[in-house]
Amino acid sequence: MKSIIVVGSGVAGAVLARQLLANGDVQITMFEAGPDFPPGNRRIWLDLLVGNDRIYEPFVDDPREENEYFGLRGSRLFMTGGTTNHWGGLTPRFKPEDFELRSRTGYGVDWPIDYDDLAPYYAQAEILLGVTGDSDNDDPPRYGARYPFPATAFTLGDRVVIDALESHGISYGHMSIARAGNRCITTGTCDYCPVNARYTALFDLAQLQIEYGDKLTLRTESPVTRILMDGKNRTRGVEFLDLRTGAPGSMEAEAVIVCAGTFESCKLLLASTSEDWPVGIGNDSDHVGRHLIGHPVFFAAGVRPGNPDKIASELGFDSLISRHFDSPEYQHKGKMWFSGSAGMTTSLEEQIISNVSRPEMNASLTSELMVSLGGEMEQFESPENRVTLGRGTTRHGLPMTDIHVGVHEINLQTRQEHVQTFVEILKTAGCREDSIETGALNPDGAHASATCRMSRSDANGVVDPNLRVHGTDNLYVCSNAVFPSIAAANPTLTLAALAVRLGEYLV
Amino acid sequence: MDITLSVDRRTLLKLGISTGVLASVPLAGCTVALSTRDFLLEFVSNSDMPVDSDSTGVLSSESFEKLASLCDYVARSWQLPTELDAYLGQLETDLQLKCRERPAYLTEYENAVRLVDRVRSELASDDQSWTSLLFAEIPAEDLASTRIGRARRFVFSETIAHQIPISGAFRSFGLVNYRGYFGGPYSSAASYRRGAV
Repeated sequence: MKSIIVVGSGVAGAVLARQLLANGDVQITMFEAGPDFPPGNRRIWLDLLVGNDRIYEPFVDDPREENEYFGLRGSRLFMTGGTTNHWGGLTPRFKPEDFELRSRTGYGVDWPIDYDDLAPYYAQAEILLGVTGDSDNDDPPRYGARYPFPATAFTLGDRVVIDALESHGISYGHMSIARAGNRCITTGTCDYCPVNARYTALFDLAQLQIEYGDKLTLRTESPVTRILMDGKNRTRGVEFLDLRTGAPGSMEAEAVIVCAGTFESCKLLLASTSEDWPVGIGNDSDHVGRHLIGHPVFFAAGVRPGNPDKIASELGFDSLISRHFDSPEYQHKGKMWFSGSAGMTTSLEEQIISNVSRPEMNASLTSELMVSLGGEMEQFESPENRVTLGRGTTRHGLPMTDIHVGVHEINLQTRQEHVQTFVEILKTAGCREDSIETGALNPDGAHASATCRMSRSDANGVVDPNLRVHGTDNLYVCSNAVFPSIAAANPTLTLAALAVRLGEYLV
Repeated sequence: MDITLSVDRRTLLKLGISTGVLASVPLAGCTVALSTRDFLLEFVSNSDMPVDSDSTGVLSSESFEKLASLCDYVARSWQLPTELDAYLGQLETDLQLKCRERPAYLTEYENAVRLVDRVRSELASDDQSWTSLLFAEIPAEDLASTRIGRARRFVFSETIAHQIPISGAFRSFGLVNYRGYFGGPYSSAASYRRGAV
């Protein structure tokens, strides 16, 4: 039996663990810095329902971690299941051109693998995450693979946006979402699903522990502080801290796989210095922590008069996506995708609490409709965008994070162009011009990538195409950190596909 | 219905007016004793968490009935369905859950019941009492920290936000699904309204 240490219990760790346990004779110990958390719990759901957004407060970043540009607090979670506990579940695939960024645009680098290498693993990941989608949409190509669940139908609110998109000649389709079609009961409270329909690594790991018993050991509140090496090439295990007792510990294994997200994965390599690796494991060419990228997001909303159909937001997730601008033609400027829908301007309970009378509430339901659009775009990497070790320790027992950022000018220009496109769509949808508001946010920790990027040689990156750290025999990174570029699409499905692929490689 | 208390007691005292003339004050159109108003505006906590959130326990049936009367008031005042027996069973289950588990709401609920009792003892009807408790204007700087402010936030508003979806009251507005309502499988035609695309 092969002993494997997995650092991190998010989607990469959970998918990888499932692959390894299902196909190999392995003993996995998974370390998680945060505490455990109950899946499908009515009390937690009740708190969310009545508007208490503090349910994740104990698990977000240490307040001292916040920084000016690349926001961390609230974008990622330290707990069993990691950030999948509050993710939106959006699971578009990357497109073929996303793997060829350098060749097509001159920016960044190409991936050392291409779309066709990953396509079969995308299909497996869609099954593991319980993804809904339109199997007949072949952009990007599906090569006959069917989604495990059919697409969510467009809502009446989507129809308002669709009418405007068609007027502009903008293509659209069904959003693919990791929300098991046989379990979802449309509560609209998807930030914490009461029935475990949305994929969470938390629920996945709970099932794995039932299926495989003591072949999977989960150690929560146990941040890994250092990777132990035997000489230059072989890892022998990890050092960790037991936050319950304050005692340090160590564990040995035949392989270590770091699945700790973009920030913690590179920080762990940087913190693991030795005579053989004086500036951190895999960092002889100074790429660990560099090239940090994320998704700038932007949005626009407006109010149009009249809502005779009483359109309301009756689902809690996006069912419409446009990847019109997520195409080769826009790649050199910064691709983007967006979603949109329409609904009431205020909730019923807010109106009652504000002492709005019933006749006034009836009138407000039919008098106006809010139409909103939101999107995210590709950011091109820059070596100056960098993560380094900060001074001190976070409340989760991890080194503090220092982030150094420079912004690629072309992204700001393109973002403004995309926002202006939103404004035109909203005007076509009938929104009053003076009601339209727009906004944009810098990237945050949710989709951050590329700090341990994949490359064919150690001169250009940190891990090889099989995700093994260059110059080592048995140390791997499986995280958004290995993405050489981020594309416009949400990264989680691509990460899950890489985890499936790594699992297959290792057994 | 609301009457703004534009001059508070502290301001009047600064102006040299004796407390003798402040025997009573208007509260959302109803008059309560000054001592009651002071009780409502008494500082409790600035915390974003329920007070005594580690104090778990059981909410008494009598206290639950008093809090549940809010749902009847809301249903009648906003012409929502008034057959609430089934819903109130779920409400009691959920309120007890929030008393039993941390962060516990038991102390917030008990404090709210004291407010309900105090105001009700001075006013002519339950409706007047609930109108005052929900809508009397309170100086903004005190809202989060006072007895009345915390009761509104942690008890009254949260109960209304529970009632609208869980009781299905949103349907009376012509809506098909609502945040928090278990609409059913999304493959079902009844779970939400679809666009004709």
